[in-house]
Amino acid sequence: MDFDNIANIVKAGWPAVTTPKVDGGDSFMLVPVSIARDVLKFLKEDEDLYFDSLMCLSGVDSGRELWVVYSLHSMKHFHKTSVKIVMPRENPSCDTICDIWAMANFFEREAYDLYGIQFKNHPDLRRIMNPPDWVGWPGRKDYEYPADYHGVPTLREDQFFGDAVGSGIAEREEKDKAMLEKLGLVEKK
Amino acid sequence: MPMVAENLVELEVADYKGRMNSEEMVLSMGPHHPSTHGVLRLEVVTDGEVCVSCRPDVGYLHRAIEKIGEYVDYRQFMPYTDRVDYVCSMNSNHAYALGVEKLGGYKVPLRAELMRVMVAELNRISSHMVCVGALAMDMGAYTPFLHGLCHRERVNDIFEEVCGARLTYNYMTIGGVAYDAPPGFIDKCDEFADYLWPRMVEFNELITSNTIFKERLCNVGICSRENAINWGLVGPNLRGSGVKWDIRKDEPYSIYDKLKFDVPVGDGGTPGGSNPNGTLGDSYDRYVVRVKEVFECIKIIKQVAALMRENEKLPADHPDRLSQAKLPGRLRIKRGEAYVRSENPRGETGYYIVSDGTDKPVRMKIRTGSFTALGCFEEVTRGLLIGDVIAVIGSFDIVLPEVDR
Repeated sequence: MDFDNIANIVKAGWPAVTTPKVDGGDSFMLVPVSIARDVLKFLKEDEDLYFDSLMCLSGVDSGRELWVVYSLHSMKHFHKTSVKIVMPRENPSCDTICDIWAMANFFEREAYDLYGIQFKNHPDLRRIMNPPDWVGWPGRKDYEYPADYHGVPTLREDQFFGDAVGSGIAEREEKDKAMLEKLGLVEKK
Repeated sequence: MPMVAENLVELEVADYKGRMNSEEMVLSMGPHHPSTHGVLRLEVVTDGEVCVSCRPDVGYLHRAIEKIGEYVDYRQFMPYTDRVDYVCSMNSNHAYALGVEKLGGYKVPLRAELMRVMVAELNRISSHMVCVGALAMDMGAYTPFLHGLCHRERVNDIFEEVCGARLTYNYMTIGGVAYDAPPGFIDKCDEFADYLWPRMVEFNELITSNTIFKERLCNVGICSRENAINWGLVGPNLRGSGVKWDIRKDEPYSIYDKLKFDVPVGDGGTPGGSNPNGTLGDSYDRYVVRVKEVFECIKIIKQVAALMRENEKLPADHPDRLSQAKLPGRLRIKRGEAYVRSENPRGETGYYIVSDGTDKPVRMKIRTGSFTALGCFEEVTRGLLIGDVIAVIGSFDIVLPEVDR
């Protein structure tokens, strides 16, 4: 079944679902957050669609709002589709789909860790990539990297592109020179 | 997460508990344990020798490769894809190149496709060699590991001639490959295929049919067909559970539709199969699928070598002889998004790329096989003995940089 047929079946049940026009790449269904779980459950359980495999679940920060994109595939009918939900940057939250596809567990944790998307009723919503006490959502576009973590500086001064934090190139060159002199690699003046 | 199998497994654990009658203890396995295949930490709750629950703790190798992808342009990201899965860098390169080419609508010359498939299959062999060798080593047999690395060394020698590197190749570019084949490359690949076939037969005699090795892996870490799909297992892990699904075959990319090869699937528990005493989807099935895949790779290499010889007969300026398509210096990819997947040694590697029309992507999501394999780890290992947990890690063929990205 191609994308238009699948979208028409879904639209018949949920008129709020839209399919924005795309020039390149994959087509997708834009689903309101409130009904996303019902739509996805239908896509999994309907006999003609039967999307038994969730290929990928990605959190996205488009710059203005946050998305969650579900890429689905059917091992029975060999067709695929993708579903997108859009959330505001402040307090983004949507329903979990862990109980529909077990594989979503880790992917939702990843989207939570990097983008701060709250998945309601998730059994174990903890950070996965970052340490548990990490502050902020590193995947977002407006994320600012912290200067230190538990008192350990996380940024180094960059000897090629100027100072990332703290001292500048001149000081760094001075240090390098001193080190080279110490090692006997350059002659002392 | 409610699972159908969960209640059954819990009963089994309760049964053990009654007999063991011991206190629960938390064992932290890793992150620097050799048999966790990298920096993976497992929080194992044990009751005597039985693993009650086993939670993977990942993230030690998180380098924010996806975030880096948003700051560099499309060509500059290629070396980073090597580091996503360094055991099969060529396949990682291929997956990323396919993603960008689909989104940008770029065509790749035939010569480049042949080179890509050739190096991808060579790399698949060398990756499977590490997996099966390391699994045998975890099970206490040291010799197969040395055999595996010995064969891998030959692949590395070929790659060194092709692109100068032995681990992280950065060989493919958007729209082709970086260099054409060096002189004598096709003969060397042919020679390697001829060399490897009898060696793999020997390898099977050495370890695959070994009774002790079979006893360690049969009926351990079972994934049923339905659970494997539900957990999102991919590649050899999925085929080990009896699902005949190979992206090279079912959603052909590159020139795979022109090649003839079989898709081996697990046959545990069937009389006349490779492990009649096992269960479909156990660790031995996953192992056997990998070994059988090596034979299929050899077949593909022979076919591609023949196709390349034919290709060399064309005049040097023929469009099919080019190793790179002519693309603009700075790639500006039109607005859109695409999820493109390809078959890697560790299963489906998908690149979800969102472009806003500039030369840098908005989002670069990498979906890898090892990440989903770890996702189902807690369910698969429940009720196993601790020694068998090691077998399950080895049979899933987990590579940690791919998990943490």
